[in-house]
Amino acid sequence: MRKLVTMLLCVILAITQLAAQSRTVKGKVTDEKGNGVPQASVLVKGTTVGTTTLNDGTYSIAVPSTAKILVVSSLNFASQEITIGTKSEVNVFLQSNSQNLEEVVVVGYGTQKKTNSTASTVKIGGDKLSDKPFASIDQMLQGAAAGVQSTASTGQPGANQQIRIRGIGSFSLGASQPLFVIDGVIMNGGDLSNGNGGGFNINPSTNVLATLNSDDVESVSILKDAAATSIYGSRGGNGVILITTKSGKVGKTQFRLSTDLGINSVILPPKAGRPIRADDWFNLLKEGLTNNGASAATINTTMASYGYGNGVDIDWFDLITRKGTQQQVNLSASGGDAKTKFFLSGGYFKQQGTTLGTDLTRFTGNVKITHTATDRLSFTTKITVGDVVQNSALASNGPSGGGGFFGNPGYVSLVLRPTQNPYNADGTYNISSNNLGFPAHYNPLYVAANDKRYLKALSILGGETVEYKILSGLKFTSNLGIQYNANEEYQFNNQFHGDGSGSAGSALSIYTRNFLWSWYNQLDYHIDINRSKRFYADVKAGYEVTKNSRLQQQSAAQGFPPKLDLYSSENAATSTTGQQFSSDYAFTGAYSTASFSYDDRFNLYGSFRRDGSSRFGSNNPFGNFWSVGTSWNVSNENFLKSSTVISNLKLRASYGTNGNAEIGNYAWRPQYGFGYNYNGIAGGTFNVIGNTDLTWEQNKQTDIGIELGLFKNRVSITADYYKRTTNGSLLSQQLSRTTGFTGVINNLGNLQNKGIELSLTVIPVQTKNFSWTVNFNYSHNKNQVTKLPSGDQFNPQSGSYLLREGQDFYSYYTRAWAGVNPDTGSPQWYTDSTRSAVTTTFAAAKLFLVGKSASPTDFGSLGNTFTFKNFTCSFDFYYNYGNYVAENYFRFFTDGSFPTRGKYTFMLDRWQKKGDITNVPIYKYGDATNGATGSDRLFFKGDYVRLRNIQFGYQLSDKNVLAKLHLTALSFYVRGTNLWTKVYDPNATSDPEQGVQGFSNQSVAPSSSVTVGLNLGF
Amino acid sequence: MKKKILYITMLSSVMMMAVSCSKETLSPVPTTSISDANAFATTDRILGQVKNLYAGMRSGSFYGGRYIIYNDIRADEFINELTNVVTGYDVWNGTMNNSSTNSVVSLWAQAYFTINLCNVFLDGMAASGNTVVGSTLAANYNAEAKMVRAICYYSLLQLYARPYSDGAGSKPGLPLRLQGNTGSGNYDLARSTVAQVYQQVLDDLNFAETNLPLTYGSAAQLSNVTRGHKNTAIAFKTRVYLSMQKYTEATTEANKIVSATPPFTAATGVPFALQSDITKVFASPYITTESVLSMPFNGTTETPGGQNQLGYYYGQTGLNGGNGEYSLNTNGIIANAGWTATDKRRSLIYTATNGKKFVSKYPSVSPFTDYAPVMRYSEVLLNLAEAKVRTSNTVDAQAVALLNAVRNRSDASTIFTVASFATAADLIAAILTERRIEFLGEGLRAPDLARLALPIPAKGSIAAIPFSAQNYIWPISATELQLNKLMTDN
Repeated sequence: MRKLVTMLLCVILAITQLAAQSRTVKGKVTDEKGNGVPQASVLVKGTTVGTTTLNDGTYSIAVPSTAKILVVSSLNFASQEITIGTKSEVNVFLQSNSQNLEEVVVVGYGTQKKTNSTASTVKIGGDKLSDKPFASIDQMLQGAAAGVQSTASTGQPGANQQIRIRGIGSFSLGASQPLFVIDGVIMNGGDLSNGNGGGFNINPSTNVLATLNSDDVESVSILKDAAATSIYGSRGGNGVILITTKSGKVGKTQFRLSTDLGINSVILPPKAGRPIRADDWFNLLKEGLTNNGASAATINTTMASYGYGNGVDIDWFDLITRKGTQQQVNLSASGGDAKTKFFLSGGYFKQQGTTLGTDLTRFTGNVKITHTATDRLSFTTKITVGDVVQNSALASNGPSGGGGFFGNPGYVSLVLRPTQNPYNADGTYNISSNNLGFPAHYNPLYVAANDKRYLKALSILGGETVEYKILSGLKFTSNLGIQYNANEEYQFNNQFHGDGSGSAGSALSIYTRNFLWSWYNQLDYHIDINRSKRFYADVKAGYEVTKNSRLQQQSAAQGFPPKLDLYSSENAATSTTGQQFSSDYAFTGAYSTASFSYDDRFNLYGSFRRDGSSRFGSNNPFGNFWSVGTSWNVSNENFLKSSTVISNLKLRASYGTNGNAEIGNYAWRPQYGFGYNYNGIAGGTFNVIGNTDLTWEQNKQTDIGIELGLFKNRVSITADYYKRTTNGSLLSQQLSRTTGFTGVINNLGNLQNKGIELSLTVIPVQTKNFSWTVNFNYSHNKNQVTKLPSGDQFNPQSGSYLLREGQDFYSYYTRAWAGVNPDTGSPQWYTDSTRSAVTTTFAAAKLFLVGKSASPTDFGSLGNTFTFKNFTCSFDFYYNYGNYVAENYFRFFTDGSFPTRGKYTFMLDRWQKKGDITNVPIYKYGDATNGATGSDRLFFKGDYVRLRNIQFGYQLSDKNVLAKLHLTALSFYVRGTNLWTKVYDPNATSDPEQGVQGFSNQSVAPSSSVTVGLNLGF
Repeated sequence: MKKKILYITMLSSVMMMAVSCSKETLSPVPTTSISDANAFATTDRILGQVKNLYAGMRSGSFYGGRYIIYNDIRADEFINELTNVVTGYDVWNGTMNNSSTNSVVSLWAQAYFTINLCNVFLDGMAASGNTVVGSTLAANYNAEAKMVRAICYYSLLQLYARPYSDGAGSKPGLPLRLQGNTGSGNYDLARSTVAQVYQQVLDDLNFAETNLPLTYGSAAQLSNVTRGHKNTAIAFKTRVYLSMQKYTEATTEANKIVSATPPFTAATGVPFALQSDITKVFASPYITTESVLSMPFNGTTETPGGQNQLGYYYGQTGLNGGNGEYSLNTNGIIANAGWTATDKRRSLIYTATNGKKFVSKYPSVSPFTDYAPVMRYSEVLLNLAEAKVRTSNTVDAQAVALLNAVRNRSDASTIFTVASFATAADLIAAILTERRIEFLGEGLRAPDLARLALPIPAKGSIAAIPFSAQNYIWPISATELQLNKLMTDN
């Protein structure tokens, strides 16, 4: 110790002495192609002496005469240390990060050299996340990494994206989401509005990540295996998504302005699922009545009552959709000197949905300042503010949105007859209640024009990080983060037409506030074990506390004055609800990791965490989680070092335990609650059975991976095999309803996910002027329910699936459709799972697992990027295969059981006469055969390929031109998103991307967009 | 090196302390509920639970709305206007299946939820509550729980089991739960027979009759209408016995609360009597001596909930802003020639601008807080009349008088005499017609058809459903079949 201090003193002395004398070093910093790298930082190692390169990459620096090493770094390049010796000209070649083995990966509570990592992680750079026409960053993760399923269940701008990392590990929908960590702080993710499946939602789906500007994000890292996630203990079980926001860079202040503008268009449903038009509808009506034995007179009267001959022929889908605008503007400033660095940004984002009444507008502001007070002490302050206004279409409860609400535009566009005229003769909206008007289902145009349904969300992320270097290699970090989120939701159902007409207009206001703080203190110790510079140990220990308090206020009112513009509930005559709810949770965790690396060849990693949570039952308040990982950089062995074929080869393996604690905040507590009033007296009862043994869901995960680079990494391959078993998954043990309860929550079920992941990057062509890069990734996952408490039971997410040991989690349980009897046109079902006999009686067909699941077996993406001189062209396909989508409202638009409603186009293929071979039964008015319900006739294959992204770009590189424009960079692009989709099943009635549950709920239809954008640097 | 270790130790301890206090941190206390351990600790909490038993029964999925509505619409007096399965389209046209969420699944769950509340309450009272409130109140409260339980089982029988008239109660009935459930366990339980369930209903009602208070006092009229008292239990027994075609027993029970001669009233306890004007029963404040039991709704906090309200289903835009879900069948009882135009009960029918007719017994506007009638005294009178005629098989003079009492208070011009009826069957037909008129929109039509093994007549485009048909009664809830291994479907 004494030695160290003496040495340190000597160094300091030397520096101060020698700083007085100096000389000048000049040179040029270039990239692989020989182009100068502007704004690269050039520092004398161990000092604060530094400069930045000019636009042509040249620099000149006065260095102390004893300076030995220059450290050169720049964004997107690996930093280089160059020994200067006595040279006066030092040219530096920087290698871009993508091919660099010294790449740093972001891991839990820190970073790590990629070489030394033993974990399966994927890092997605900010360049892949900026300027996309998506409201939230999680939407951009679709196809971005193997093993990550990112899927939308609605086209509502700002909706929650469903993400599953390595399959389904929890029985409840919300609990299977990964953990979101922003700048080291564990956040509340997902839908923080009234949503998350509870009761009626004003906005069917909202997303807290939509308050974050993706242009402010430096990178997103996805942690997949135990070696990466176990450090998050009881919360890392379903994978972790680490979001790192941008920081300032040393150098001249850089401004960046990016803006784009575009048009969103609705993606039409497949042909079979579009509504039929008037002529066909009347033909069906007539045929249906005839088949039902109606007299000619009845037929004529009925036809007339629905406006036969009036000439009204409405394309409802066309009426409820529109072209939407897409726009964003982002401006940032980044810079700093050796002491202080800053990053400032502001952003505006506007997305107009393609369904009437849907849009999202966001303003963001962001400040991050890092100050190095002394050699030892530095601190970072960050404030990110996002303000979102989201207007939603009327839809039903649940995270998926959509549904059978009579004013839901998606639903009514199908259910309304093409013969219902939305307009009166004078051009006003038709809201009459006769058969030619809107007696049951509402006129969606009137509802969209006069109802309100919005979210105003304010989100603040604050962070304060202090780093103190106690001694060489020993660092103390204290990180305090807050997340404040206030969601104001409002709904006004107008008094004249729609859901509010019965109560003279009704309003519902919900305010939800979440305040989270999280604080960790941590020691990092980097040790050169035998001072050989070959054998290092990195030890980390910390303690973290996270606390969240949630408050919700609801108020409802009705009885509005007969004026549409006075929609605020203060105008209403009667206030019907005014209540407040609150709910808190807390976690504490002590954690530690140790990693050893020898000669950049052998790496060993271990982690341990002990977590406690208020969500765990009083009998089980604490849990321990651990992991071990190892990796071998074979390519650093002597026998491979000289290989011209293999440029990188790494083998890794890890095993560990972690958990998932997405449990209801007070779910374990047996409770006796009030609120069951009778004649004004507060009635109380046991309302929660509770379970004092309740605890986290335990994951055990094995991962084996290989990373291979060939031909100087022109080909790089990463492949992983994983097996993830989840034990004690929370399951409401369903009880016979005769018990008076629906179930008891317990750690009962086991799940298993096994799969392989493959990522491939190939650069088939790379010349000075032209390069071609291919990115491909593939994920295959097999999910199995491996243990259930007492035999088969319904999936808690929906009775459409049945949980059975050995079967996929989302296995559909229904009757098997056996087509249409060619002689009679009757619907047929198989009587049972043997599929040996058919019946035309619905009740005689048994329900069974029909061998179809909502989970895709395979998915991934294929991307190509071509660069020619200053032009780039890239396109990315996303593919998804092996799942089935269930049409939840099929029966309303199919067959004759609801004869007065609109019908799907495939109804035109109905059976009409003996011998017709078709899959669509006879059309009979008032049909009671149940042909359109409760069977796998309602399913279609979810296989599809989508052109997720196509982009043409141009980057101006002529320095003279740029200089004349007073710019440092200029580029523009045209981008198409979701422009093309191939749906493989001809029977598909809706877009196949319908969320992880695979239910088509007539939610807001998805959109495609075309945007043009401009980026300026100055 | 030693120093380093010292630093680390010091820092570690500081940082642990800085953010510690974990015991407190980890125990946020819910603000919405109290621990289950003290539920029977005070008289207030016990009374709160008694109230909650009724609140369970009053649920919009049950007696607060849908139970009554379903028993109306599955019969022949109503026509579905909106083809909405959420509001009973499938119940109306007889196509509900095991998974019909809003009807078959949810009513089953709500009724058994209420039954379990009663069972948990009875267990808790036996364990500690009886001593907290004292023997008198304990007997009253236990009797209320048993009465609510009896009503629940009786109601389930009307929908999910073959009527008693089919094989004298030998058909499969319901799983009989008589113990409270407060934790997980094996809950497989087979169906008892219809007769066994009826016997339990009668046992509970007999207990209730013995232990309920005579009255909550003349100052507590609200409680007399909305909670069980001795006469409530007796009145309900007349309905139960009629359903079992046990007319002698029905007569015996009814005679306890119906005087021998007009004006018919209950001699002891709460003095049940017909109101001179029937419309008063269906108007605020809803508290009359005719109301044997009603489910109260108040203001904005105690409401039936969306798409459950009687006024929402049966009312209409022009009447009360109701949704006009069900209009009256023009070929139903409203076409009856003997139901005169001046009959006061015709004023409880509203004719919409489009000419369709709607029941206007529930005229209040959103949130539709009309009290939901479970039973009215006029039913007791007609129960007695029918039981007397069926036991004696003669044109019974008191039966005629009872029929007149119901008819004349609304229609003074039509006076029945013994001579009006050639046979006992004619008198019974007249009584049944009277029931259709009197209880239109009160959920008695389908159970009346069922107890007499009559088919459900055709209506609109829907064909008649014969007594033997599978869809004459409801199927068993799919979740029940799934979770209760001993359960069988209908």
